[in-house]
Amino acid sequence: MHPSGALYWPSQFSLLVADLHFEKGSSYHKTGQFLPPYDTHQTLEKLETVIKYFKPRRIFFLGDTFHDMSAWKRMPDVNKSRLLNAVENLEVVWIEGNHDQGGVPDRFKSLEKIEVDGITLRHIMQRSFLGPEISAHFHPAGVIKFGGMRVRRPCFIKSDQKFVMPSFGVLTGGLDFSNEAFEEFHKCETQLFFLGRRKIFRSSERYLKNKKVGRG
Amino acid sequence: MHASSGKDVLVLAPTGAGKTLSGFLPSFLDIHDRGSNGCLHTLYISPLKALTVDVHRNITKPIEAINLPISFETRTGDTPAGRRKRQKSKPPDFLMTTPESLALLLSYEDAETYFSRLRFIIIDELHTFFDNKRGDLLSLNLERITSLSPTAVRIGLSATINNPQRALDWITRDRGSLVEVSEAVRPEIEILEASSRIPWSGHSAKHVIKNIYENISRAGMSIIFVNTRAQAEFVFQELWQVNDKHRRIALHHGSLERELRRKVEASMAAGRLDCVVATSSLDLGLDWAEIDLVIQIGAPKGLSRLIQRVGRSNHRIDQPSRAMLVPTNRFEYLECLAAKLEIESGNLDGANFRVGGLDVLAQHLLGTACSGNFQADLLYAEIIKATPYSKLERDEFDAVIDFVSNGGYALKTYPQYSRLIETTPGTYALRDVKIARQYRMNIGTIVESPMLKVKLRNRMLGNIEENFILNLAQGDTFLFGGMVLKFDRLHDATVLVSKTSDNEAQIPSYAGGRLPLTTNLASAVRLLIGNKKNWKGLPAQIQEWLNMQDDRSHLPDNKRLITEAFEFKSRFYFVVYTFSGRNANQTLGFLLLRRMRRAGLKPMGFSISDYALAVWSLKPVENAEKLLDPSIMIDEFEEWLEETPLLKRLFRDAAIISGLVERRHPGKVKTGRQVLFSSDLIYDVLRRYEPDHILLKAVRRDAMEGLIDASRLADTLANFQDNIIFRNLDYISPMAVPLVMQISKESTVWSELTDDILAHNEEEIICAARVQSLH
Repeated sequence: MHPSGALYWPSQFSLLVADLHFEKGSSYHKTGQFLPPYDTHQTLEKLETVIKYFKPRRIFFLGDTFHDMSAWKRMPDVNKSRLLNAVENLEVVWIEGNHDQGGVPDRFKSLEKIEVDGITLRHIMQRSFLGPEISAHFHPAGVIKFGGMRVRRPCFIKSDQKFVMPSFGVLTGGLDFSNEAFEEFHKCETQLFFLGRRKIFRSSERYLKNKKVGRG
Repeated sequence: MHASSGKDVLVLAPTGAGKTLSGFLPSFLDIHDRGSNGCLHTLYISPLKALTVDVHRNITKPIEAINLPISFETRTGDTPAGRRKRQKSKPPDFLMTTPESLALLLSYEDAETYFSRLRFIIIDELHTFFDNKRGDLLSLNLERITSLSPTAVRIGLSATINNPQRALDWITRDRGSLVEVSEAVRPEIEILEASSRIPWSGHSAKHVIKNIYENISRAGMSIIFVNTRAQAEFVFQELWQVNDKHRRIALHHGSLERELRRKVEASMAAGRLDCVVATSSLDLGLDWAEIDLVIQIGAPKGLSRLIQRVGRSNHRIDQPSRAMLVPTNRFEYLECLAAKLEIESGNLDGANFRVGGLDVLAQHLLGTACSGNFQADLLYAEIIKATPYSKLERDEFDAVIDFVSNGGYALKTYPQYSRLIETTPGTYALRDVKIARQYRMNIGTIVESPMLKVKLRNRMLGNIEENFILNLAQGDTFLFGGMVLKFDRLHDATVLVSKTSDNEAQIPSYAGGRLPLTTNLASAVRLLIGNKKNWKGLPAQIQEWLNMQDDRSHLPDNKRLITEAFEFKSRFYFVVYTFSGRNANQTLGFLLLRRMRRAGLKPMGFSISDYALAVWSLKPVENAEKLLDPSIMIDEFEEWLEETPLLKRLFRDAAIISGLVERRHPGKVKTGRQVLFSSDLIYDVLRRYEPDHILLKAVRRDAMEGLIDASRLADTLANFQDNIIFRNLDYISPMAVPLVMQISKESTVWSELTDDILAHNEEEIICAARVQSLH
């Protein structure tokens, strides 16, 4: 796990990233809300950095890579080529999300899910699915309390069979872990891995909820 | 009758002097002499919707008595669509409205004809507008009206303030005239004598709840004012526990569902209640009930605010209002006594006047464009006539136009979506009427903090701060709407709760909305503490406490800045008694963290009150003068300003007010929780790519005045630079107790510390885990 929100899978020489939401800023321009048009640029910069760092052979985009269906078309050419250059020598596995169905750049084939080494990768976690699964979609985040101070950070969620990735895009908010969407994690042994500025921090769910781990 | 002669006028009068009605007199006379012209004749603007309704009812009598054949109506966000439509096509003679509804009326394409024959504008409770963005918007709209109807006379009605000339400049065009109605009787204020020990810290009033109850039992109708919603909940709950005489006690605060609040107000008016526990939600002007007694629990924080609250009782001019102050801890006792003495000698707080916000200007420019094309030169000339904008530079004005058009970014993308287009050089038009519709759904400068709905089975109870809920664990209990509720779970933007049989609950702690102690009152408190001759009015236990402070450390006064250092539970504390209000103290806390870190003292956090701040560190402070050197306002301040999360909080407001992000979009209902993007993230992106963006500038400027209170802090540090007393103590001092108690509860995160905190957290968990495996 990398503090950028990317996940590296050493045995597969693979890098996983999720919820990049390219062109989120500009998608609001047509409604008259002029969000700063720099988010795509900054997310690309992050992506280039992690690829350079891990030097993977394969990259998985776990869905919602684009904020909407026409985002790829709208993306300025300079950023289009930056994206393509960044993944040029990699095998690209493109899983589609709920935001970007059908809006995939021509050269990639989009999949609904894929199984790699016995683990299913898809955009939205499937409750009924019992096997090991890596998903994204919810942009999980949580608050850690310590000595009266609070820090809110995006996080990875890990339980016995499920693994949920945080969002990689820079203009994407987070959904708090106490939300009903994460209900099933509240009922089992779950670990959260928070993105620090330079490293990943682990915290157990129960501690997060202000009930320190029980003593005996 | 200055106003009848066509001259603007400002009337200053104490509460209850009947000033609202007096404001209408010139208008009555005029319409009586000339008759109705079938157009809008008089506009009445008040800060509260409820007040417009109240005033409407109050002027019915005189209008009927002199048989004036005129129509008079209210118009607020609550007015039904049908009537709003009719008011637009066929305006009443008198219209009573709020600043937001006025901005809406001014944004219609027919605004010019609508306001063209306006004769009078009456602005009530004017003093509530000087120091906030709502006032900025109102001042801009008043100039707009003056451009549309140059002869309309302005009449400002205000509570008494100590700098009336500035208020006069604010409200009147040219030099208007000032009418001051002097106070007939000063209010009678007493401080509740507690039969029990007054706590050193905390705000619960638990120790005197029985005394309070006795007092409300003896009075007819009473209002208990508190400073926070959390406190309102707590006091209400406590009163019910001792309510053996079955008094009818109700609760009123801004988070409760509007329906519930209206019910309480109606019951008060009908005399069906004995007591209401309220926050500032009942501060302003309604006269619908006969109140015998006003009780203020907790520190008054400011003289004007206290006078306003006290004025809620007894609306007859020849009799004094009665009020009782209830300090909840020892510091508050000092503040209550100082406030009482100040009011008895007729002193007042100064009104604060602010520089107009650029975010409000952006909203106004878009609104103006909605009503028709505008010429930049003419509009600029109009805007600098509004007092808050009198110093607005032309290039800033142009930058705001650019911002309104397309976000004002150096990188220009998607010009097809611009909101404004320049038709000929210097003339701007709205690109699409759809934008006007969006604008009209987003008018206003009051931005609520993100709220979640609280739902008990099928019943909506009200709204609660998202930040508060995010700190709760499932199963935790809290007080809300006078009930002890258990937090079950979050469902979308709704907090699902259930009832519990518990009497005790974790109290909601709302950090926001607390007003800082005013400068005048702060200096009165300093004066009171610093001179033992003034201690006569203090109960023995408070005197003992002050003497103990004097023995162990040093008493604060108005000549010196007292600081202390001591060790407590293996942490080192550094306490500074600034008396500069909580905002300035918070800023100083952040700056000291930086400076102490640089000095290798390993600071870990701080806590604040209105009077002082305490920083705790792993190594002791040895030189206070060096730490508090005024250069901290330059060296550390600039750096900190760039990174502080406080600016993010302000940025959210500015982004919404300026229209960068919308609260509501046609066809979509957006609730607090589901905001589609976080303004924090936008802030980070902007700071990185466009540090000089107009909205960042706007936020920095706002911060200097309010939340950061930089000028007050700089004054304090400069004034006391050579008069710093530093006491190295063996043990915690009496006055520092509340701050040290607070530290574990509410110190604030320092963004640079993030990783350290997380690392520490991890260690704690590891320890806890080890403990678990041993058992």
